[in-house]
Amino acid sequence: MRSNRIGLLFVAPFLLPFLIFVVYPLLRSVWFSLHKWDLLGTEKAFVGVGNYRLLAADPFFWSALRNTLLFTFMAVPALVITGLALALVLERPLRLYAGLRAVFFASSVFSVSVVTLIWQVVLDPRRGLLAKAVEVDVLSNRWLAMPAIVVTTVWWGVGFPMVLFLAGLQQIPRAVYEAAQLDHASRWAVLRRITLPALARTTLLVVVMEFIMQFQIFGQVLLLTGGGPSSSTRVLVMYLYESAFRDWQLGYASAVANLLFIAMAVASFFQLRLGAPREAT
Amino acid sequence: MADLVLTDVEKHYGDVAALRGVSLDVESGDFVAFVGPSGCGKSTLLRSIAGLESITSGEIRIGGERADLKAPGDRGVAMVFQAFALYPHMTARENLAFGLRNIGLPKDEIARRIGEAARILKIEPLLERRPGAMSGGQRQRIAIGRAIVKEPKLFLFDEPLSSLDAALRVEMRSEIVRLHQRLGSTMVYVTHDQVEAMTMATHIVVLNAGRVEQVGTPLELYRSPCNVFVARFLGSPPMNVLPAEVEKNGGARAELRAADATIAVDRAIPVGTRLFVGVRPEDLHLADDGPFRGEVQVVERLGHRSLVHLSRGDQTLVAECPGDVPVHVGEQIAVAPRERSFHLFDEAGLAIGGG
Amino acid sequence: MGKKLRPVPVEVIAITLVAVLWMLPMLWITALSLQPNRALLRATPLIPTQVTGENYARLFAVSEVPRWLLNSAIVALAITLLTLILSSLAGYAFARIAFPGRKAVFALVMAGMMIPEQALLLPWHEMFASTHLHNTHAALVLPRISGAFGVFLMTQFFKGIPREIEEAAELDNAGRFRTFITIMLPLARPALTTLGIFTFLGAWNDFFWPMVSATRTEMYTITIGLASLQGNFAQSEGLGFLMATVIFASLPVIVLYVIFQRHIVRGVAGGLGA
Repeated sequence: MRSNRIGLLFVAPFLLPFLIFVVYPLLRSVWFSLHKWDLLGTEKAFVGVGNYRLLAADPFFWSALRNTLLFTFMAVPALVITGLALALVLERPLRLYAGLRAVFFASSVFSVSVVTLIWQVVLDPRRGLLAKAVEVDVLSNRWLAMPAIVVTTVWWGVGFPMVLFLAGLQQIPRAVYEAAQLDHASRWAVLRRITLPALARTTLLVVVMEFIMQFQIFGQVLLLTGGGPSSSTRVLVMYLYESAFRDWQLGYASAVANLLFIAMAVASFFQLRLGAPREAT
Repeated sequence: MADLVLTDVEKHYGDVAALRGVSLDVESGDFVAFVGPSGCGKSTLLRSIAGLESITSGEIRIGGERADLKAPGDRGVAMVFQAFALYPHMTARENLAFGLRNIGLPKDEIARRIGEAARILKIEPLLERRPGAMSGGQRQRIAIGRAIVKEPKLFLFDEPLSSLDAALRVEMRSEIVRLHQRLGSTMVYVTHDQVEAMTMATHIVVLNAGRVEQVGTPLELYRSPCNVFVARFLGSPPMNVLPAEVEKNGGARAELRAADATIAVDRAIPVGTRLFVGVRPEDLHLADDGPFRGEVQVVERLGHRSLVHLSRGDQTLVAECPGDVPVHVGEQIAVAPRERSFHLFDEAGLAIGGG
Repeated sequence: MGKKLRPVPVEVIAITLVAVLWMLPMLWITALSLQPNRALLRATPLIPTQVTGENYARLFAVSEVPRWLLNSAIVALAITLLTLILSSLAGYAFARIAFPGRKAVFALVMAGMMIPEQALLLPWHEMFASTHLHNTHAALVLPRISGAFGVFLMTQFFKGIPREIEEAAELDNAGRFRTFITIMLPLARPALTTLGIFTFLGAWNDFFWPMVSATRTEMYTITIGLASLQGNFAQSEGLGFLMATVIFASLPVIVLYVIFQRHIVRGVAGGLGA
């Protein structure tokens, strides 16, 4: 018989960095969060759950959470609905549509700095693409900054939900549509009674995945508004970033990071539960 | 070429026994078929011989050498898999050469062996092709070629024809038999198809629930099955088996009653004994005065023969008649057995000699 | 055949218009990158009145962009190569070798997929700070080869390869490692391609960690370099130059996308999405 222990040898090259750069840091992060830990090295004291208590009483934290949720609740539906609409229209096997699908997906491959540079120029009040039509400085406007970030995000990331919906649409058997045609169903009836219900599972999965991604928004805010105007776009990850690398409060920032981790882990768990049975269908 | 000896081979998966005390002698040069219903352990037994499964206890000897402790590659066996298991990214030649390179055979020896196998199997034109560009039958030949070039002591076949279509299956069947005759190697062949076993093998091993039910030549097994299971497993349509009771015992002759018919057997059995009587469909023929009467349920007309299903109460009999038969569904008919064509089994299903 | 749904022309025209609008920002900045910076102070038209290549020429002459691109290439290629090696090795073992503790280790690795990078970033920062490894390529590469996703993908893939093929190799006297190299890896080419593309794109576009770790401009990746240029275009005369930088910096991913578009889309729809 072959010895199975050799399996450990195959796994070891991955497991080593995994333990060093994932498992250990995770424990370390918990450790940090229980300390008042100044990254500049002057101060390190055990404070127990003190950082979490501070966090609960910190209005900036709550405001960051509120901004994050505000962004998420705008961006996720926008992404899901736009992605679904594009998928429904572009599903048909036309050569032109294959090209258009490629166009809508293309921006997904850019980095956040490319995307934000483009949109910063587009939204520029003096020389931007919309400068003649809109005379406001969108990114410095308390009410328009966040929607502008949402628009940027949708432009950047709509390809992902679109492709998932296209995949979901392809799983609907042709015969169902043919049966509906024999039943004299109108296009609208087919969409409402057949297509959309068949996409229910995909939609739920897309919503959860987008929630996980968008909740972690950081780059667009940092590069487009820097959290402003007057903190109206300061989101959680940005708050974490500033606590750690501007204020150098490692313990406090770790507490934020750990809360974020728990929230994301719960959502991911939900996603895995959703994703698993989907493979069977 | 070598013989294969299994002694008390057991294989357990946790509490489940897949093989229970399998002992077997396969002589050098034999073509042995393992048959049995799915889950009977025939594949497990073959894979245990190959070394792809470890056995829980017992001993496997190939050519006199203890094999069950060796690695699969060191046992001197070659295997042809059900789905062929060719390496899809290699040409046929590379497929054949892979195992030979791994044991460090010199290049010219590898070339010689591949050349010879290719000639035997007529696969020379395929050697530079990949499996993806071949038909099922061609892949089958490459898979057999991969076994031949190893010049193994023992060939193992794991249902190798089940992924081919019906016509090709018949063709490959005789091709494998010819190959066996030409190479004279010991071959072990797993199949669930009793026709394959009957037509190809020199010996058949019938397995059921992890046990060997009976071993013998195809005709031995067909003529004298040792129990009801073997009797019904070999032969298509299967043997008719009816519960019966002895009514009279007259010295060397007994009369029994089965399915409302009285039949006589040349054997002394105490009155009142309950047993099973078996008769093969081809041993029944239409006869107005036959002992088995019943209503025709179905007639399957196959051209060269017809299968007549008749029922009497809750008993059903199948009679196989040559050519066409002038009977209709719903008609009352009678069938009679040929002389001395009965198989008798005791209440536990074990054969007690023919009658 | 019955009647096929005939495309409604209005619909086709409408969605094509939307797509053109969608591309407008890209088309526009391409146009900007081809115009002289001085002209752009007056107007920023979609259709250039004057066309010049000087913005691109200056890119090589004066900027740090080539250096940043080189950093990105080194880092992204190293991450991709290492990820492919480590993921396929581990994935094969998880899929096919019943080594002691396999289930527990696999569960641990899968749980690793749920961890957002922000939760690990501060400890990484401290680790590399205390070993004085910030502002090195290694600091950008090492944390990125610990991702569990590749292992997941390769495990799934290897599970799908028929066991018989491996058993045939076993009977052909091939050991585990030889089987892995000569049989399993060649069979895994489609999965490795998909994983390679996504790993490369992810590494190339990586933002948060490189921004934290690479603080010296000569160690910037292109993604961080571009981020550092934000905000100073409005007052500067270098709008065309900046846009040329954006376009040039995006060329590698654009080329990759054009070549591997099918792979990428299929990857999102299949392995990565669900």
